[in-house]
Amino acid sequence: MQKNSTHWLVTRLTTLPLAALFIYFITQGAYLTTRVRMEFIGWLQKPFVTGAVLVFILCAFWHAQLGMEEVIIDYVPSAKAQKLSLLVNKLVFLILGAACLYATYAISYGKF
Amino acid sequence: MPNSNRPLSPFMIGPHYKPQLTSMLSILHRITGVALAAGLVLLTWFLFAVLQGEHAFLMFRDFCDSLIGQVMLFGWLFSFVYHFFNGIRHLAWDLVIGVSLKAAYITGYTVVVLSVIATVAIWVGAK
Repeated sequence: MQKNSTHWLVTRLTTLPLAALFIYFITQGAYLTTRVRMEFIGWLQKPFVTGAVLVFILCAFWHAQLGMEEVIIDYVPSAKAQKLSLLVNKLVFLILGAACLYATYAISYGKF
Repeated sequence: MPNSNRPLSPFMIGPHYKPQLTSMLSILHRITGVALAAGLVLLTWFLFAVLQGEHAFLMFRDFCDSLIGQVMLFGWLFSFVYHFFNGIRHLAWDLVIGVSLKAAYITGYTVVVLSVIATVAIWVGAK
């Protein structure tokens, strides 16, 4: 477990960029670019959008990992299974999150 | 130590506790949170499909256009919108705003109405 209130605080702090970017993506009609591959690439390659998506991914995966941690602690009573679940949970979100950050970086720098 | 016969929290609602708006919205916050977390796998697939090329991209798009894909996307959109509005409610509670029973009900119903309207509006807007 994290020290003192870190878990609680990070869960809340990550919501601020997530909420702001959720509104940004919706109002910008980000989803409209996802029908055509080159259109999405063109959108993602705008510097501000690249940064926004990277921040969004970082916060989303971190927030999801912390949230799932709370769910696991509440519903997996056996100490051994809980410890294992928490580890798997961390690994899954770490790997998927890192993969998404890499993919965003690679798309935005045209490495495909 | 753990007693497996003891009912766990969400399964108290129904046989042990009467369902109420407050408890239902609370568990819905969790359910939508888990759905959103699961949806991140879809996001990962999407980004790598874009990275890989047209063929992988079209495979992903076909999946999204299928019935199961549409149901998942609609569920993910609703989850995001609900988790967003109810999350604001939670952040307000953290600042000790709106913690009275009456306020919890007013904001609770507000979140439900806003979530339904926003989900439908965004879904229709994206079509």
